[in-house]
Amino acid sequence: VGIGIPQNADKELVDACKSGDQQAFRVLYEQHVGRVYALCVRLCGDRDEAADIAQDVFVQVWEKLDSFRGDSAFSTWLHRVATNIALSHIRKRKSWWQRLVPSEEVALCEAGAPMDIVDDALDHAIAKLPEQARLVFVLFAVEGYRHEEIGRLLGIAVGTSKAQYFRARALLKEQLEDER
Amino acid sequence: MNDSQFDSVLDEMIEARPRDISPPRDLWPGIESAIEMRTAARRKTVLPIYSIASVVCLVLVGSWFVLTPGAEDISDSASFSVDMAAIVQDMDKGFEVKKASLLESYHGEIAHTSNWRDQISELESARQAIKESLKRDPDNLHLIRILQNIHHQQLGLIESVHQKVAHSI
Repeated sequence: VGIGIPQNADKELVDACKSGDQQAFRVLYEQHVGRVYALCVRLCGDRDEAADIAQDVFVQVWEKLDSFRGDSAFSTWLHRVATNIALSHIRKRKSWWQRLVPSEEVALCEAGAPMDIVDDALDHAIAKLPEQARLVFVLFAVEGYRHEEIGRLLGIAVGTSKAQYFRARALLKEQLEDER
Repeated sequence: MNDSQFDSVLDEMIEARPRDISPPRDLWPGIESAIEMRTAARRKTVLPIYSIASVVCLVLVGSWFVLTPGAEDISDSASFSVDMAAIVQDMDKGFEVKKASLLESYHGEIAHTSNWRDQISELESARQAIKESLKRDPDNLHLIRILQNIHHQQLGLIESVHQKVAHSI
């Protein structure tokens, strides 16, 4: 479940939300906002943008609650929805030239751009990674997605996902060694 | 630090990372207002659908009452025809009375045109033909309007030919 909330409690809250109970939804929000925001800030590397994305996640979750059938834990479902919405936001924010220039060059241009997001040393280092390396590393190493899933989510080949992951590790090693 | 050492350090850091991070601001007010706006927008979309559905239901229920045999007392087509025929008959009788009264009022006066009686006679033939048709089709509103028009034409003709003479004199 991820944040130690009993699944039954979530289910009752979700049922109440489905019948339009906004207070029940607020309880769900309070329970899960930290986890959702952590995912968003690690993926996008920007505090304020992550807050906007997390806000949108909860608004869309309210809209989509009817599609949650309870086959998995609510937190698992919420995590999937949040990942998709965050990645969609990141794709949309790309400027026209970023779409035209090969992603590797963009990554080099953007390296080191998002900084100062959290106090944790690892999160700080992750935020400095080029975008695609950061996305792959967060999804694979932190969130536990497989490379096949990452390939589908990001629209890249499985081999590319693996290559970006090893590249991210190498960059993180450099960064963390420099800090020591 | 070699690769193997780094891997274990990295794994420890990943394991020790904070699972929750607090957002820099309270996100709930924005979420709450967005939810309320969307709910209100949905209500606006749904209400007209309910209105249309209720109108359709009303029409269906009305049709059922009209078309089912048990509802003959509400709308009996035969009695409806009789009523229309009576109305037309009253209207035509009223015309005859008004025409006779008008002709009586202009009795002895010289008409402006000499052939007005021929025109009245033609209109009268048309009137009789329409009345015959209405006997076969008493609910035909088009025929009823034509009959009304013939009444107006006859009365108008009688008045106009005599008033012009009176004015010119």
